[in-house]
Amino acid sequence: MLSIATIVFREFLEIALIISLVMAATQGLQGRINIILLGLGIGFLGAGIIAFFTDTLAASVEGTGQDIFNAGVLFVAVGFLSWTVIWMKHHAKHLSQRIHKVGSDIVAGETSVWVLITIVALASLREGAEIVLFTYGMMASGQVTWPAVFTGASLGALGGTVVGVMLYLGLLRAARKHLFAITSWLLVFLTAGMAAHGASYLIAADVLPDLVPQMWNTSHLISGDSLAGEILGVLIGYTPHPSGMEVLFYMAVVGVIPLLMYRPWEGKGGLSKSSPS
Amino acid sequence: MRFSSRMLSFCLLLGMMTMAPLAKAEAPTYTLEIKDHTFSPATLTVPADTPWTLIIKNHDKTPEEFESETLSREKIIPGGGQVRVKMGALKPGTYPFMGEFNPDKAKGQVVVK
Repeated sequence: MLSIATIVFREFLEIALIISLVMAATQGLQGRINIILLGLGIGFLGAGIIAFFTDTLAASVEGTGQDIFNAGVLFVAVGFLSWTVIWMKHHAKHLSQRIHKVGSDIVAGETSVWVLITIVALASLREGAEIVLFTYGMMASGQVTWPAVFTGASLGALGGTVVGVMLYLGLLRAARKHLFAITSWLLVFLTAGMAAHGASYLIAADVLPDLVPQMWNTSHLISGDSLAGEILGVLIGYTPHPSGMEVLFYMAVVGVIPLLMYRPWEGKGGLSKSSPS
Repeated sequence: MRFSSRMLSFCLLLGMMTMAPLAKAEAPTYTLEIKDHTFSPATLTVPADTPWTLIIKNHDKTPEEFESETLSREKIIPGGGQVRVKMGALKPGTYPFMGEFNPDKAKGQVVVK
Protein backbone atom coordinates (compact mmCIF):
# COMPACT_ATOMS: atom_id res chain seq x y z
CA MET A 1 0.00 0.00 0.00
CA LEU A 2 2.85 2.32 0.86
CA SER A 3 4.46 1.77 -2.52
CA ILE A 4 1.18 2.69 -4.22
CA ALA A 5 0.98 5.83 -2.11
CA THR A 6 4.57 6.74 -2.98
CA ILE A 7 4.20 6.28 -6.71
CA VAL A 8 0.85 8.06 -6.90
CA PHE A 9 2.33 10.88 -4.82
CA ARG A 10 5.27 11.24 -7.21
CA GLU A 11 3.10 11.33 -10.29
CA PHE A 12 0.39 13.46 -8.72
CA LEU A 13 2.94 15.96 -7.44
CA GLU A 14 3.69 17.08 -10.98
CA ILE A 15 0.01 17.58 -11.80
CA ALA A 16 -0.60 19.43 -8.50
CA LEU A 17 2.35 21.78 -8.92
CA ILE A 18 1.38 22.69 -12.48
CA ILE A 19 -2.21 23.32 -11.39
CA SER A 20 -1.17 25.47 -8.44
CA LEU A 21 0.96 27.66 -10.70
CA VAL A 22 -1.85 27.99 -13.22
CA MET A 23 -4.24 28.83 -10.35
CA ALA A 24 -1.91 31.51 -9.06
CA ALA A 25 -1.43 32.92 -12.54
CA THR A 26 -5.14 33.19 -13.21
CA GLN A 27 -6.19 35.06 -10.09
CA GLY A 28 -9.57 36.62 -10.62
CA LEU A 29 -10.58 34.30 -13.41
CA GLN A 30 -14.04 33.06 -12.57
CA GLY A 31 -14.80 29.39 -12.77
CA ARG A 32 -11.16 28.40 -12.47
CA ILE A 33 -12.01 25.43 -10.31
CA ASN A 34 -14.40 24.09 -12.94
CA ILE A 35 -11.81 24.62 -15.65
CA ILE A 36 -9.24 22.68 -13.69
CA LEU A 37 -11.64 19.89 -12.78
CA LEU A 38 -12.68 19.57 -16.41
CA GLY A 39 -9.03 19.46 -17.46
CA LEU A 40 -8.31 16.80 -14.86
CA GLY A 41 -11.31 14.77 -15.96
CA ILE A 42 -10.32 14.86 -19.62
CA GLY A 43 -6.71 14.13 -18.72
CA PHE A 44 -7.49 11.08 -16.60
CA LEU A 45 -9.94 9.77 -19.17
CA GLY A 46 -7.19 10.07 -21.77
CA ALA A 47 -4.75 8.45 -19.35
CA GLY A 48 -7.00 5.42 -19.07
CA ILE A 49 -7.21 5.13 -22.86
CA ILE A 50 -3.43 5.46 -23.24
CA ALA A 51 -2.81 2.91 -20.52
CA PHE A 52 -5.13 0.54 -22.37
CA PHE A 53 -3.14 0.93 -25.58
CA THR A 54 0.29 0.85 -23.92
CA ASP A 55 1.26 -2.42 -25.56
CA THR A 56 0.71 -1.04 -29.05
CA LEU A 57 2.21 2.33 -28.21
CA ALA A 58 5.34 0.93 -26.59
CA ALA A 59 5.99 -1.52 -29.42
CA SER A 60 5.63 1.12 -32.14
CA VAL A 61 8.57 2.91 -33.78
CA GLU A 62 10.90 0.00 -32.95
CA GLY A 63 10.08 0.13 -29.26
CA THR A 64 10.43 3.87 -28.83
CA GLY A 65 6.79 4.85 -29.38
CA GLN A 66 6.14 5.73 -25.74
CA ASP A 67 9.06 8.16 -25.62
CA ILE A 68 8.05 9.86 -28.85
CA PHE A 69 4.46 10.12 -27.62
CA ASN A 70 5.55 11.57 -24.28
CA ALA A 71 7.78 14.07 -26.05
CA GLY A 72 4.86 15.04 -28.29
CA VAL A 73 2.57 15.62 -25.29
CA LEU A 74 5.26 17.69 -23.58
CA PHE A 75 5.97 19.83 -26.62
CA VAL A 76 2.29 20.55 -27.19
CA ALA A 77 2.09 21.58 -23.51
CA VAL A 78 5.17 23.76 -24.04
CA GLY A 79 3.38 25.43 -26.95
CA PHE A 80 0.20 26.10 -24.95
CA LEU A 81 2.07 27.29 -21.86
CA SER A 82 4.29 29.61 -23.90
CA TRP A 83 1.26 31.07 -25.58
CA THR A 84 -0.48 31.57 -22.21
CA VAL A 85 2.47 33.34 -20.60
CA ILE A 86 2.98 35.61 -23.61
CA TRP A 87 -0.73 36.33 -23.84
CA MET A 88 -0.93 37.05 -20.10
CA LYS A 89 1.88 39.56 -20.29
CA HIS A 90 0.41 41.23 -23.32
CA HIS A 91 -2.96 41.69 -21.76
CA ALA A 92 -1.75 42.25 -18.23
CA LYS A 93 -2.65 45.91 -18.00
CA HIS A 94 -5.89 45.35 -19.75
CA LEU A 95 -6.75 42.45 -17.49
CA SER A 96 -5.99 44.03 -14.15
CA GLN A 97 -8.04 47.11 -15.02
CA ARG A 98 -10.99 45.05 -16.04
CA ILE A 99 -10.78 42.81 -13.03
CA HIS A 100 -11.03 45.85 -10.80
CA LYS A 101 -13.83 47.49 -12.73
CA VAL A 102 -16.21 44.97 -14.04
CA GLY A 103 -15.39 41.77 -12.29
CA SER A 104 -13.76 38.75 -13.68
CA ASP A 105 -16.29 37.22 -16.02
CA ILE A 106 -14.98 39.11 -19.04
CA VAL A 107 -11.52 37.71 -18.49
CA ALA A 108 -12.91 34.23 -18.55
CA GLY A 109 -14.53 34.91 -21.88
CA GLU A 110 -11.40 36.26 -23.43
CA THR A 111 -8.66 34.09 -22.04
CA SER A 112 -8.92 30.92 -23.95
CA VAL A 113 -10.48 28.79 -21.31
CA TRP A 114 -9.68 25.84 -23.51
CA VAL A 115 -6.00 26.62 -23.32
CA LEU A 116 -6.09 26.26 -19.54
CA ILE A 117 -8.16 23.08 -19.76
CA THR A 118 -5.67 21.66 -22.24
CA ILE A 119 -2.67 22.48 -20.06
CA VAL A 120 -4.20 20.72 -17.07
CA ALA A 121 -5.39 17.80 -19.22
CA LEU A 122 -1.95 17.30 -20.78
CA ALA A 123 -0.28 17.33 -17.38
CA SER A 124 -2.63 14.71 -15.99
CA LEU A 125 -2.52 12.65 -19.19
CA ARG A 126 1.09 11.53 -18.98
CA GLU A 127 1.31 11.13 -15.22
CA GLY A 128 -2.16 9.62 -15.00
CA ALA A 129 -1.27 6.90 -17.50
CA GLU A 130 1.61 5.82 -15.27
CA ILE A 131 -0.64 5.68 -12.23
CA VAL A 132 -3.17 3.55 -14.11
CA LEU A 133 -0.47 1.18 -15.44
CA PHE A 134 1.15 0.79 -12.08
CA THR A 135 -2.04 0.08 -10.16
CA TYR A 136 -3.13 -2.29 -12.92
CA GLY A 137 0.16 -4.15 -12.59
CA MET A 138 -0.22 -4.40 -8.83
CA MET A 139 -3.77 -5.69 -9.19
CA ALA A 140 -2.96 -8.13 -11.98
CA SER A 141 -0.05 -9.69 -10.15
CA GLY A 142 -2.33 -10.26 -7.18
CA GLN A 143 0.06 -8.48 -4.83
CA VAL A 144 -2.57 -6.23 -3.37
CA THR A 145 -6.30 -5.95 -2.85
CA TRP A 146 -8.68 -3.27 -4.03
CA PRO A 147 -8.99 -1.49 -0.65
CA ALA A 148 -5.19 -1.28 -0.41
CA VAL A 149 -4.97 0.19 -3.91
CA PHE A 150 -7.71 2.67 -3.12
CA THR A 151 -6.22 3.74 0.22
CA GLY A 152 -2.72 3.98 -1.21
CA ALA A 153 -3.81 5.99 -4.22
CA SER A 154 -5.92 8.33 -2.08
CA LEU A 155 -3.03 8.93 0.34
CA GLY A 156 -0.65 9.62 -2.53
CA ALA A 157 -3.05 11.97 -4.28
CA LEU A 158 -3.74 13.74 -1.00
CA GLY A 159 -0.02 14.19 -0.35
CA GLY A 160 0.56 15.60 -3.83
CA THR A 161 -2.39 17.94 -3.46
CA VAL A 162 -1.14 19.19 -0.08
CA VAL A 163 2.22 20.17 -1.58
CA GLY A 164 0.42 21.88 -4.49
CA VAL A 165 -1.89 23.83 -2.15
CA MET A 166 1.11 24.84 -0.04
CA LEU A 167 2.84 26.21 -3.11
CA TYR A 168 -0.30 28.06 -4.16
CA LEU A 169 -0.90 29.65 -0.74
CA GLY A 170 2.80 30.35 -0.32
CA LEU A 171 2.88 32.13 -3.66
CA LEU A 172 -0.18 34.22 -2.83
CA ARG A 173 1.32 35.26 0.49
CA ALA A 174 4.92 35.79 -0.53
CA ALA A 175 4.32 37.40 -3.89
CA ARG A 176 1.25 39.49 -3.23
CA LYS A 177 2.45 42.58 -4.98
CA HIS A 178 4.15 41.06 -7.96
CA LEU A 179 2.13 37.88 -8.17
CA PHE A 180 1.58 38.30 -11.86
CA ALA A 181 5.21 38.83 -12.80
CA ILE A 182 6.46 36.12 -10.47
CA THR A 183 4.01 33.46 -11.61
CA SER A 184 4.77 34.37 -15.23
CA TRP A 185 8.46 33.77 -14.65
CA LEU A 186 7.79 30.58 -12.73
CA LEU A 187 5.72 29.38 -15.69
CA VAL A 188 8.58 30.27 -18.05
CA PHE A 189 10.97 28.05 -16.08
CA LEU A 190 8.38 25.31 -15.77
CA THR A 191 7.87 25.42 -19.53
CA ALA A 192 11.62 25.37 -20.15
CA GLY A 193 11.89 22.30 -17.92
CA MET A 194 9.14 20.61 -19.92
CA ALA A 195 10.95 21.34 -23.18
CA ALA A 196 14.18 19.88 -21.77
CA HIS A 197 12.26 16.85 -20.50
CA GLY A 198 10.72 16.39 -23.94
CA ALA A 199 14.20 16.57 -25.46
CA SER A 200 15.42 13.88 -23.06
CA TYR A 201 12.62 11.56 -24.28
CA LEU A 202 13.69 12.14 -27.86
CA ILE A 203 17.31 11.42 -26.93
CA ALA A 204 16.23 8.12 -25.34
CA ALA A 205 14.29 7.36 -28.53
CA ASP A 206 17.42 8.11 -30.60
CA VAL A 207 15.60 10.85 -32.50
CA LEU A 208 17.87 13.61 -31.21
CA PRO A 209 21.59 13.36 -30.34
CA ASP A 210 22.56 14.23 -26.77
CA LEU A 211 25.37 16.52 -28.08
CA VAL A 212 27.18 16.27 -24.74
CA PRO A 213 26.24 13.24 -22.61
CA GLN A 214 26.59 15.15 -19.35
CA MET A 215 27.07 18.90 -18.98
CA TRP A 216 27.50 18.81 -15.21
CA ASN A 217 26.53 16.67 -12.25
CA THR A 218 24.89 18.00 -9.11
CA SER A 219 23.56 14.66 -7.82
CA HIS A 220 25.59 15.03 -4.64
CA LEU A 221 23.91 18.38 -3.90
CA ILE A 222 20.31 17.53 -4.75
CA SER A 223 19.57 14.02 -5.96
CA GLY A 224 16.92 13.71 -8.64
CA ASP A 225 15.28 11.02 -6.50
CA SER A 226 14.82 13.23 -3.44
CA LEU A 227 11.61 15.12 -2.74
CA ALA A 228 13.40 18.45 -3.21
CA GLY A 229 14.89 17.17 -6.46
CA GLU A 230 11.47 16.11 -7.74
CA ILE A 231 9.72 19.34 -6.78
CA LEU A 232 12.50 21.40 -8.36
CA GLY A 233 12.35 19.06 -11.32
CA VAL A 234 8.73 20.01 -11.99
CA LEU A 235 9.01 23.68 -11.09
CA ILE A 236 12.24 24.70 -12.80
CA GLY A 237 13.15 21.56 -14.73
CA TYR A 238 15.95 20.62 -12.35
CA THR A 239 17.81 17.52 -13.40
CA PRO A 240 21.10 16.62 -11.74
CA HIS A 241 23.06 15.75 -14.87
CA PRO A 242 21.53 17.15 -18.05
CA SER A 243 22.82 16.46 -21.53
CA GLY A 244 23.87 19.21 -23.90
CA MET A 245 20.64 18.92 -25.90
CA GLU A 246 18.49 19.31 -22.78
CA VAL A 247 20.36 22.47 -21.79
CA LEU A 248 19.94 23.79 -25.33
CA PHE A 249 16.14 23.26 -25.27
CA TYR A 250 15.93 24.82 -21.80
CA MET A 251 17.91 27.89 -22.81
CA ALA A 252 15.91 28.27 -26.01
CA VAL A 253 12.63 28.53 -24.06
CA VAL A 254 14.10 30.78 -21.35
CA GLY A 255 15.47 32.99 -24.13
CA VAL A 256 12.55 33.11 -26.53
CA ILE A 257 9.46 33.41 -24.29
CA PRO A 258 10.65 36.51 -22.36
CA LEU A 259 11.60 38.06 -25.70
CA LEU A 260 8.01 37.57 -26.91
CA MET A 261 6.66 38.70 -23.54
CA TYR A 262 8.52 42.00 -23.43
CA ARG A 263 9.01 42.60 -27.17
CA PRO A 264 11.93 45.05 -26.98
CA TRP A 265 11.51 45.85 -30.69
CA GLU A 266 8.09 47.39 -30.03
CA GLY A 267 9.62 50.50 -28.48
CA LYS A 268 9.44 51.97 -25.03
CA GLY A 269 6.12 50.49 -24.01
CA GLY A 270 7.42 47.01 -24.50
CA LEU A 271 9.97 46.92 -21.74
CA SER A 272 8.01 48.55 -18.95
CA LYS A 273 6.64 46.06 -16.50
CA SER A 274 2.93 46.65 -16.02
CA SER A 275 3.22 49.76 -13.90
CA PRO A 276 0.95 49.73 -10.87
CA SER A 277 -1.57 52.49 -11.29
CA MET B 1 -10.26 32.75 -29.06
CA ARG B 2 -8.89 34.99 -31.79
CA PHE B 3 -5.45 33.52 -31.45
CA SER B 4 -6.44 29.91 -31.45
CA SER B 5 -5.74 29.08 -35.10
CA ARG B 6 -2.34 30.73 -34.94
CA MET B 7 -1.63 28.93 -31.70
CA LEU B 8 -2.76 25.62 -33.09
CA SER B 9 -0.48 25.86 -36.09
CA PHE B 10 2.38 26.87 -33.78
CA CYS B 11 1.82 23.76 -31.68
CA LEU B 12 1.50 21.54 -34.74
CA LEU B 13 4.70 22.96 -36.18
CA LEU B 14 6.52 22.29 -32.91
CA GLY B 15 5.16 18.78 -32.89
CA MET B 16 6.17 18.05 -36.48
CA MET B 17 9.65 19.46 -36.02
CA THR B 18 10.27 17.21 -33.08
CA MET B 19 8.66 14.11 -34.49
CA ALA B 20 10.83 13.93 -37.60
CA PRO B 21 13.53 11.35 -37.00
CA LEU B 22 16.87 12.98 -37.76
CA ALA B 23 19.59 10.40 -37.74
CA LYS B 24 20.03 6.90 -36.44
CA ALA B 25 23.54 5.89 -35.55
CA GLU B 26 24.30 2.21 -35.24
CA ALA B 27 25.31 1.49 -31.68
CA PRO B 28 26.14 -1.75 -29.85
CA THR B 29 23.07 -3.35 -28.33
CA TYR B 30 22.67 -4.91 -24.90
CA THR B 31 19.63 -6.73 -23.66
CA LEU B 32 17.97 -6.89 -20.25
CA GLU B 33 15.22 -9.39 -19.54
CA ILE B 34 12.55 -9.16 -16.87
CA LYS B 35 11.14 -12.33 -15.38
CA ASP B 36 9.28 -12.62 -12.06
CA HIS B 37 9.94 -8.91 -11.48
CA THR B 38 13.73 -9.36 -11.53
CA PHE B 39 16.25 -8.18 -14.10
CA SER B 40 18.66 -10.53 -15.77
CA PRO B 41 21.48 -10.02 -16.01
CA ALA B 42 21.39 -8.00 -12.80
CA THR B 43 24.75 -6.52 -13.78
CA LEU B 44 25.18 -5.33 -17.33
CA THR B 45 28.73 -4.47 -18.39
CA VAL B 46 29.15 -1.96 -21.22
CA PRO B 47 32.19 -0.16 -22.69
CA ALA B 48 33.02 3.39 -21.60
CA ASP B 49 32.72 6.44 -23.86
CA THR B 50 30.57 4.61 -26.42
CA PRO B 51 26.90 5.29 -27.10
CA TRP B 52 24.87 2.09 -26.88
CA THR B 53 21.33 0.83 -27.13
CA LEU B 54 19.46 -1.00 -24.40
CA ILE B 55 16.75 -3.47 -25.30
CA ILE B 56 14.46 -4.50 -22.45
CA LYS B 57 12.23 -7.55 -22.80
CA ASN B 58 9.50 -8.09 -20.27
CA HIS B 59 8.45 -11.72 -19.93
CA ASP B 60 6.04 -10.96 -17.09
CA LYS B 61 2.36 -10.34 -17.67
CA THR B 62 2.46 -7.02 -15.81
CA PRO B 63 4.07 -3.76 -16.92
CA GLU B 64 7.33 -2.55 -15.41
CA GLU B 65 9.05 0.81 -15.42
CA PHE B 66 12.82 0.80 -15.90
CA GLU B 67 14.17 3.75 -13.99
CA SER B 68 17.63 5.05 -13.28
CA GLU B 69 18.47 8.40 -11.78
CA THR B 70 22.16 8.07 -12.66
CA LEU B 71 21.46 7.04 -16.27
CA SER B 72 18.62 9.60 -16.40
CA ARG B 73 16.28 7.24 -18.17
CA GLU B 74 12.76 6.05 -17.37
CA LYS B 75 10.85 3.73 -19.58
CA ILE B 76 7.68 1.68 -19.31
CA ILE B 77 7.80 -1.88 -20.64
CA PRO B 78 4.33 -3.41 -21.03
CA GLY B 79 3.69 -6.98 -19.97
CA GLY B 80 5.11 -9.30 -22.64
CA GLY B 81 6.56 -6.30 -24.46
CA GLN B 82 9.93 -5.13 -25.67
CA VAL B 83 11.31 -1.59 -25.79
CA ARG B 84 14.46 0.16 -26.93
CA VAL B 85 16.33 2.91 -25.08
CA LYS B 86 19.25 4.87 -26.49
CA MET B 87 22.04 5.44 -23.99
CA GLY B 88 24.74 8.06 -24.21
CA ALA B 89 28.51 7.62 -23.95
CA LEU B 90 29.13 6.96 -20.26
CA LYS B 91 32.14 7.47 -18.04
CA PRO B 92 33.48 4.41 -16.20
CA GLY B 93 31.52 3.68 -13.05
CA THR B 94 28.47 1.92 -11.62
CA TYR B 95 24.99 3.10 -12.55
CA PRO B 96 22.20 1.46 -10.53
CA PHE B 97 18.72 1.00 -11.99
CA MET B 98 15.44 -0.42 -10.73
CA GLY B 99 11.97 -1.43 -11.74
CA GLU B 100 9.83 1.27 -10.23
CA PHE B 101 6.72 -0.87 -10.10
CA ASN B 102 8.52 -3.55 -8.07
CA PRO B 103 11.30 -1.63 -6.35
CA ASP B 104 12.01 -4.32 -3.74
CA LYS B 105 12.78 -7.10 -6.21
CA ALA B 106 13.66 -5.46 -9.50
CA LYS B 107 17.14 -4.06 -9.03
CA GLY B 108 20.29 -4.04 -11.10
CA GLN B 109 23.24 -2.00 -12.27
CA VAL B 110 25.10 -1.01 -15.38
CA VAL B 111 28.87 -1.27 -14.95
CA VAL B 112 30.78 0.88 -17.41
CA LYS B 113 34.38 -0.20 -18.02
